[in-house]
Amino acid sequence: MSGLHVENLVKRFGAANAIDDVSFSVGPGEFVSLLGPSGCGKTTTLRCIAGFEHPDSGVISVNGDVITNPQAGIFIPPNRRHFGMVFQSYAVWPHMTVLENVGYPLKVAGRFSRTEIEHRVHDKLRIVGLAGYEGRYPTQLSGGQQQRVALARALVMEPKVLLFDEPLSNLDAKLRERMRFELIEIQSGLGIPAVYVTHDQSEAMVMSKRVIVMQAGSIAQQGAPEDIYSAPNSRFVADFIGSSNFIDAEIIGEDENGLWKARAPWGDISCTSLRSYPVGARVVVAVRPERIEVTPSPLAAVNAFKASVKSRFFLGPFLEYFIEAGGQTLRMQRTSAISAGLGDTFAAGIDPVHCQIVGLAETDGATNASY
Amino acid sequence: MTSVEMGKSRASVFSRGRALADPLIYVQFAVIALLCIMILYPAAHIFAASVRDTDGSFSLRWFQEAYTNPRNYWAILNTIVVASGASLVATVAGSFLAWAVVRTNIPGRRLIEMTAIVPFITTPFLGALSWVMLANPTTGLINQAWQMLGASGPLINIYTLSGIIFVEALYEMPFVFLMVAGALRSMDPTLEEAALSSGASLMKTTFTVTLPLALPAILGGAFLVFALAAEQFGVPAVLGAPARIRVLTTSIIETEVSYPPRHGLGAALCITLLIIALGGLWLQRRALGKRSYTTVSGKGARSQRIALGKWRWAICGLCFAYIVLSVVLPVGTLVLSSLRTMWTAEISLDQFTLEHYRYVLFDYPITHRAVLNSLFLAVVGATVTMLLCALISVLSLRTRLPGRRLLDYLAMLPLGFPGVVLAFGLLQAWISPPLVLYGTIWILFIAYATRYLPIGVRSTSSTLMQIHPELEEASLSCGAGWFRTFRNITLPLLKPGLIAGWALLFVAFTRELSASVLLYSPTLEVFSVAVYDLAQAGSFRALSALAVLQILVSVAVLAIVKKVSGVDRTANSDGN
Ligand SMILES: Nc1ncnc2c1ncn2[C@@H]1O[C@H](COP(=O)(O)OP(=O)(O)O)[C@@H](O)[C@H]1O
Ligand SMILES: [Mg+2]
Repeated sequence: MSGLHVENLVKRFGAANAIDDVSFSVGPGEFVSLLGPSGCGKTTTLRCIAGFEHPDSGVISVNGDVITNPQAGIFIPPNRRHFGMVFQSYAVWPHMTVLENVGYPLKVAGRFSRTEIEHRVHDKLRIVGLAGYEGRYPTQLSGGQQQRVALARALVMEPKVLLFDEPLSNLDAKLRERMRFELIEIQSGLGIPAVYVTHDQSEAMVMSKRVIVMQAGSIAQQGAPEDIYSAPNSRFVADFIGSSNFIDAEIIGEDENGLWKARAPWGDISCTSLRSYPVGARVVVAVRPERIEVTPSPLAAVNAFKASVKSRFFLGPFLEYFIEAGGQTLRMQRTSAISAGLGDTFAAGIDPVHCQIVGLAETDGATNASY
Repeated sequence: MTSVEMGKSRASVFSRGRALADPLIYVQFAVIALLCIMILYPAAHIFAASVRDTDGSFSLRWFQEAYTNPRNYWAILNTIVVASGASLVATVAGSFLAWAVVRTNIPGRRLIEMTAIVPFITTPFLGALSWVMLANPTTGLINQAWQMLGASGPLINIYTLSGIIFVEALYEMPFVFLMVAGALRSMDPTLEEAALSSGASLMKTTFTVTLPLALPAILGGAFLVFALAAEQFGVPAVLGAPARIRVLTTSIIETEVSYPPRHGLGAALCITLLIIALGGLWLQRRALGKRSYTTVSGKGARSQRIALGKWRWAICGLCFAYIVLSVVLPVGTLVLSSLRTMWTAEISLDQFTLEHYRYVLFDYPITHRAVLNSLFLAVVGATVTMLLCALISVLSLRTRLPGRRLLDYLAMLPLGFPGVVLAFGLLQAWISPPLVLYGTIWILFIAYATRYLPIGVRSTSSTLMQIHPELEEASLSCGAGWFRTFRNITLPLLKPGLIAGWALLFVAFTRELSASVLLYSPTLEVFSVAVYDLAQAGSFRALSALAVLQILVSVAVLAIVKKVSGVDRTANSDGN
């Protein structure tokens, strides 16, 4: 039972459930991201793990030791958990030097001599690239440097678990991208579980082998970034991770390849699905804009259809087209221009693997196009 | 994180308790118990004394005496007259001054704004004393000068109800000024611009839009001054005594210092005063509660100032007259009288001497002791009180303990207690066993700490609200316990608020009069009581020396603190 385990966690604020039955595990050395829109309960989950919130029920354990279990009356206070935490606001103490900030966990532990503390602090500052800054006060450091101080402070205690709450969200874009790689580099050498909270999907996908997508206090989907991207299990995930075209369709049966056959506005299409549906069910099919092809490949030819070009935008690395088929507008992304001009009709197609049924259509009022 | 998120996570820093196992809850119990002993226990003594007859049985005779004996009901009526009068004068003058400074182009606006610090320089009590020297009907400088000009009889007599109202209004006006100026500044300028573009003139806009919108602040100021003036002891004690003008505060003191003391009557008068003061404060809160609609937004350009033309000099002159009456004349009088051997309107160089300073600081044992006692109370008292305030702020803002609302409420309660009433309660509570504190310096210590607790807590709370709670959580996650986090992180980050609060308390403690006058005992005199005694004895030159020293100390402490907290590197401590 090594690693961090969260089982059936529930946390209420007043009557509202901020976290509703969340379970997941993080193995030693694993770096897992909690991803979701603002207010979905990521921070609350992390704070329950850190011990700053008392959950209403659920069990949290680390390396086999239960640290939170309200039913059994177990609650280890945050200062005994020995978890390193990097806060969104950095939380670097302005009245202490870098040396005092980073050395604080060791000073508090009371087992280390002055020289030992200085030695260890120096060591960690070297790792985060701040050697030589020991005597500075945080107000003399840039945001990125303060972030590194916060990281060094979390590392110096040799924590059992590392927790990050949107640590990069206050940095500028360039620095943010560089810090992503530095963070995983540093974490990968430690062999401890790390939980990383972010609302930035690209950050989550770049940094972690496993992403946990949260929605309104529950886990919507978890898995490798590639799997979640290519096979979202709900409209929410398909929409939140990357962008998707959503097509209303009606299940009409199975095709000859064992795929689902559904009636889209422009004709029948073959789709894949993680769940099964009865014939006649009205479903939503998600299609990534970059998966709509122009000259259909043989396999995609199954799902070929006629579309007309409505508008075209140049976005640098790719071009974006809005096309119309069967009265529905679709978004299409391509790295190179297509030969059809505005208003022209062309043959389009989508590989059935990339037509993912993400759930039943909402009843009335659901429009057939959303981006 | 959005600011909304920060706001709500703020309340959640230290582990908070569903469970009694949370050790913090015992700290909280202890603080609540302490506050109850400091505040509620004396209050209970007042209520008990007011309905207990001399033989110990229940009776309402003290209230009957308070409301039917002319000596007492005149005191009540005088209190209301003085409070209303001072409130009216201060409100009209303060609102006018605020409007002139914020909204018109009169010259010297920056200087006039300094009126806000007048109460830090001189207290109403010292103001009353210097106005005695200026306008005493026989020896007052102004009246002497008037008679030298050939007139007969005094020009002004300060020993009257209007004299009392005048001096109180002078020193309470800055409260109205601050409130109304704040409201005028935060008013949405487009509201006035809309009136102007509808064709109203600037003056018409001022009277039909600006003033009505500022009305809640004006009324709030008026009711606050009403409460403060009703609680005032020093001014009516100095100016009322010669003409036998009694108010509630002086009558309450009288019941205790006369022989035999009449605690029951004192208690009934205390309750009457408490009701008058609380009524004023309650109305003030109600008035300010409606204020939100005037402070619509901070954006948009400042609306144009009213060009007053040739009137600007006249209005500017009026504003400066206030500074002359409240600071220049009184302080000048005190300085002059402290340095001179005689008190006449004719001044020559050989009348000047430092003899009075030597006398009050070294020769006269009472003032000598008073200086030392006051310094002890101010330094140690302000320090201990501020630590208590920091603890109260942390417990009420940074925990979710069930009693945190109660704590906050208790800490703000002394705002409603006039100093005389508080002292009366403390005296009844601590003069007899189980614990006799009367006769020790600790009863003064408790009185000061209680009276100024709300000011201290406001100072620490407003600083704490600017400190991101993650700074404390970071310490917990580093393995530090609650107390260690409080000492290593919270207290140092609170330093700017602590210093500012400490300075306010230090100054307040060196000048506290209305509670001290009941609670001091022989050999335990304090600064303002010594000044009061000298005034009773008519030693105005020694008194002036002491008063000048008190003003110097206040100004020096405030200046030093301003400097220290200005350069403090933790002043801007939000963790980013
Ligand atoms: N201390 C609190 N009191 C009341 N509600 C809270 C508190 N903390 C969080 N919440 C609510 O719980 C939900 C989840 O919040 P949070 O975990 O901060 O979201 P995230 O970090 O994913 O943006 C939100 O609806 C938020 O309003
Ligand atoms: Mg969050």
